[in-house]
Amino acid sequence: MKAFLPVILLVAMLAPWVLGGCDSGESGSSTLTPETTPVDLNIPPSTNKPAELADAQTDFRTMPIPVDNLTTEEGVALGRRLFFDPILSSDDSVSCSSCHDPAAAFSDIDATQAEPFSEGVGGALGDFNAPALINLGWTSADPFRLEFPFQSGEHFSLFWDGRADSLETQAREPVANEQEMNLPWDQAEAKVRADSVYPGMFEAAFGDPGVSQDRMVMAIAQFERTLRSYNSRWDQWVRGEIEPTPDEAIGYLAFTSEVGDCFHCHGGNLALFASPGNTFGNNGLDALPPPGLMEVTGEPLHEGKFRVPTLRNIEFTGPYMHDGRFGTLDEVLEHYSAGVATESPNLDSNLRARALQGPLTPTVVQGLKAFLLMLSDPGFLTDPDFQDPFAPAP
Amino acid sequence: MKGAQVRGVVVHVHSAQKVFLRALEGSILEAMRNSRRSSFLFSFLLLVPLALACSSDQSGGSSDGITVRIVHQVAGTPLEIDQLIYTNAAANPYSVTKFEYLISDLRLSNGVSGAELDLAQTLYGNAVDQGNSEHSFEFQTPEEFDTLSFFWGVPDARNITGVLPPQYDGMHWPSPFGGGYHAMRFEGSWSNATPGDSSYVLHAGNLRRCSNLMETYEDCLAPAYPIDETGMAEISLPVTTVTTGSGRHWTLVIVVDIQEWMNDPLYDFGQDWADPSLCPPLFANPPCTLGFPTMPGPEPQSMMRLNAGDVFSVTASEG
Ligand code: HEC
Ligand code: HEC
Repeated sequence: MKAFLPVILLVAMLAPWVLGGCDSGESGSSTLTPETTPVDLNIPPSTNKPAELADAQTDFRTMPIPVDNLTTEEGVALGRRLFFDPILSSDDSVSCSSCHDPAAAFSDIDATQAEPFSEGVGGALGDFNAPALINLGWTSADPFRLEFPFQSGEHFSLFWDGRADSLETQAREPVANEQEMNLPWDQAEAKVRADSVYPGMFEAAFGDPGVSQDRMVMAIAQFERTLRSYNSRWDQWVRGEIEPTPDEAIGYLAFTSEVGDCFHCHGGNLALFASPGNTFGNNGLDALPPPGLMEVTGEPLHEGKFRVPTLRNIEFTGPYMHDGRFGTLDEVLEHYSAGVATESPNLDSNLRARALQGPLTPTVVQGLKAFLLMLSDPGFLTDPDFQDPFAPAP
Repeated sequence: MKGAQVRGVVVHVHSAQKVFLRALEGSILEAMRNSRRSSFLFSFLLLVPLALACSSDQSGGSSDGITVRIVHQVAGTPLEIDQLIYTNAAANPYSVTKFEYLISDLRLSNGVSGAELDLAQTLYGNAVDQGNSEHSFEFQTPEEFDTLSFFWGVPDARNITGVLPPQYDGMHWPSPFGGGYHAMRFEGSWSNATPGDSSYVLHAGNLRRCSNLMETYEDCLAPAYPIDETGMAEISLPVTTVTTGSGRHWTLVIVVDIQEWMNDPLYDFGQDWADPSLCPPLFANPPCTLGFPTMPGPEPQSMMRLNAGDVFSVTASEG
C-alpha cells in the first residue's frame, strides 16, 4: 500500500487544480479550514467474511465526496439543524424531517397506501411517495456511474425520475417548491440570517458568518452523507458475526441469481443494494407506465424507468414504489412473482423472461422476504446523531 | 511487457469533461490496483493531458494518432434498437433491447518485430444507450503493427470483483457464481410458436464457478463444447499495416456483428439445456433454456464464448 501513497498525494494535490480547470469559474472554496474537524465517512471492508461472501461486492466503496464540500463536524451539525428546522418553510410548519423522519428511516412516517403522498405547507400534496434517505452519499456522485445512459456529460441520479445530479442540487428543490416548503430562497436566507443561532454555526462551518443558499445546501448534503446504514443482520453476516437462517440463505441465492432476479437492478454493490451502473429500470408496475426518466431525458427508451431505490431498511419505509401503491412487502413480492406487466415498454428483459416463467415458488418468496428483512438496521432509526436537535433530550 | 509507451488518455469524442474526470479516476484506480510498478508516473502521465483537455473541448481526431471506432451491426446492417425484425440462424425472430459489454487489453502488435502498443485496459461498450463509440489514442514511438487484439470481457484470471473502478460495478457478476464482471449483456424479445412471445438474456461472465444454487461446480465447462478454459475469448484480428509516430492518423473500425453470437455453434433461444440437473431447482418452472436463464449454466456460457470468435472484424485506414 505504501507504494501508492505518492499517487494518492499527487492526485489529492492536483485534483482541485484539475477540477478548477474544468469548472466554469466558481471558486472551489474548501469547507476544510483550520477551525473545522474533518469527518471520515468510509466504512472499512470486513476482515472476517465467511467464504460465501468473500467477494468484494459486499464492500462499501470509498464514498465519493465533492472536493468543494468535504464533510466536517461543524458542517454536519449545521446541516442537521437546517434539516429539522421548519424555518425553511413559508409558515414555519414544515421541515425536511416532516417528510423524511428518522423513525421511518427518513421516509415519510405518515404516508400510507391510501394516502401515499406527503403534505407540504398548507396541506399541499406532491406527486410522489417520499423515499428513504439511506447511504445516498454513495449513490449520488459521478464516479459511481458509467456513461450510462447519458451522453451529454450530465448525470442524473436523485429523485424517482433522476432530475437532481447530487445531494447539493437536490436540496435546492424542496425549499422553494410550492407543494413542499414554499419559501423562496432569498426569503429563506433572510430568515436564517436573522436567527440568533445560525450565523455562529455558519462561521464554525465555513469560516465566516455569511448565510447563503449555496452554504445551506452544502451543509444539508454533508448531514445527509452521514446517514449511513451498515449494521443490519446482512452486515453482521458479512462481518462473520452471525449465520443466516435457512430462509435468509435461500433468499440471498434467489436475490443474486436469475431465480428471483433482483440483483440486476438492486445488486451490483451488496453494500448499497442499488446498482451504480443500472440506476434506472422499469420493474413492470404498469402496462402503460408514467414517463419516469423520459420526463427528464425526452428519450423514448427511458419511458417507464424509475430510479432503483435501495432496499436497506425496507421494512420501515412503506408504502412502496414511487406512488406508494403497495402497503406491505408481501404485496411487493406478489408483484414480482405474478404481477409484472410483461407488455410494459422498456420492461427489463431479465424480469420479463423471469415473469413469463410463471410465479415464484413459495419457498423462494418466503426466502426473499426473509432476506429483505435481513436488511433492517433498527439502530439507524434511533441513532442519536440523526435525531431532531430541537427535541428535548430524553 | 514489451511495447511502446502510450502518451495520451482515452478520448471519448462525444463526451464532455466530466467523462475525463471519471476516466482519470478509473485509470488511476486501475493503475493502483493492477500495476504495482510505475503507478506514480502513470497517473502523472494521465493528469497532464487531462488538464490540457479541460481547456479545450475539441479532442480526438488529431493528426498523429489512432481512432478506434466501434460499430454495432446485425447481419451487416446498422443495429435498430427494440425492433422485432431480425431472425437468427436458429430461425428465432428477435429484437435487441440491450447490448453492453467489456473489452480488455486492447492492443496493437507486430507478429514479426514483437512490438506491442497497449491502447486501453478496459473499454465499456453499450450499443443501446450510447450507440457506436469512438476512442482516440495519441502516441509518439514510431512502430509498425499488423494485428489488433483484445479479450472479450475481463480475462478469467483477473475477473475478480474490485479490480475495476466503481463505475464498472454495474457490470458485476454475482458472487455466488464467482464474482467479477459480465463480459456481455445481450437482451431482447423473441417469438416462436412455443413458448410464444418471450425474452432472451444472454449474459456471459467468468467460467470459474457454476452453480445450480444448491451445489457449486468448480468450473463451468460443457463437455459438448470444448473451449480453452484459461481465459476469456481472445480476439486477434489482422489489420493492414498501421504505422505510428509518422505524423499520420489512423482509424480502426471494429465492427461488432450481433447476429454472429448465435451462428457457430448454433444458438437457439428455445432449446433446453442439455443437462437439466444443472438448472437451479428453485426455479418456478424448469426447464432452463438457452434464452433464459444463462448465468449459472455451463452450456450457454461455453456456447457464447465459442461464438465470440467471429463476431468482431476490423478494418484499418489512414485518415
Ligand atoms: C413535503 C414533503 C417533503 C419535504 C418537506 C422534503 N421532501 Fe425530500 N422528498 C419528498 C418527495 C415526495 C421526494 C420524491 C420526489 C421525487 O422523486 O420527485 C423527495 C425526495 C428527496 C430526495 C431524493 C432521494 C432519492 O433517493 O432520490 C432527497 C435527498 C430529499 N428528498 C431530501 C430532502 C431535503 C434535504 C429536504 C429539506 C430541504 C426535503 N427533502 C424536504 C418529500 C419531501
Ligand atoms: C428491472 C429492475 C428491477 C428488478 C429486476 C427488481 N427491481 Fe425492485 N425496484 C425497481 C425499481 C425501478 C423500483 C422503483 C419502481 C417505482 O417506484 O416505479 C423498485 C422497487 C422495489 C421495492 C420498493 C422500494 C421502495 O422504497 O418503495 C422493493 C421492496 C423491491 N423493488 C424489491 C425487489 C425484489 C425483492 C426484487 C426481486 C424479486 C426486485 N425488486 C427486482 C427495479 C427492479
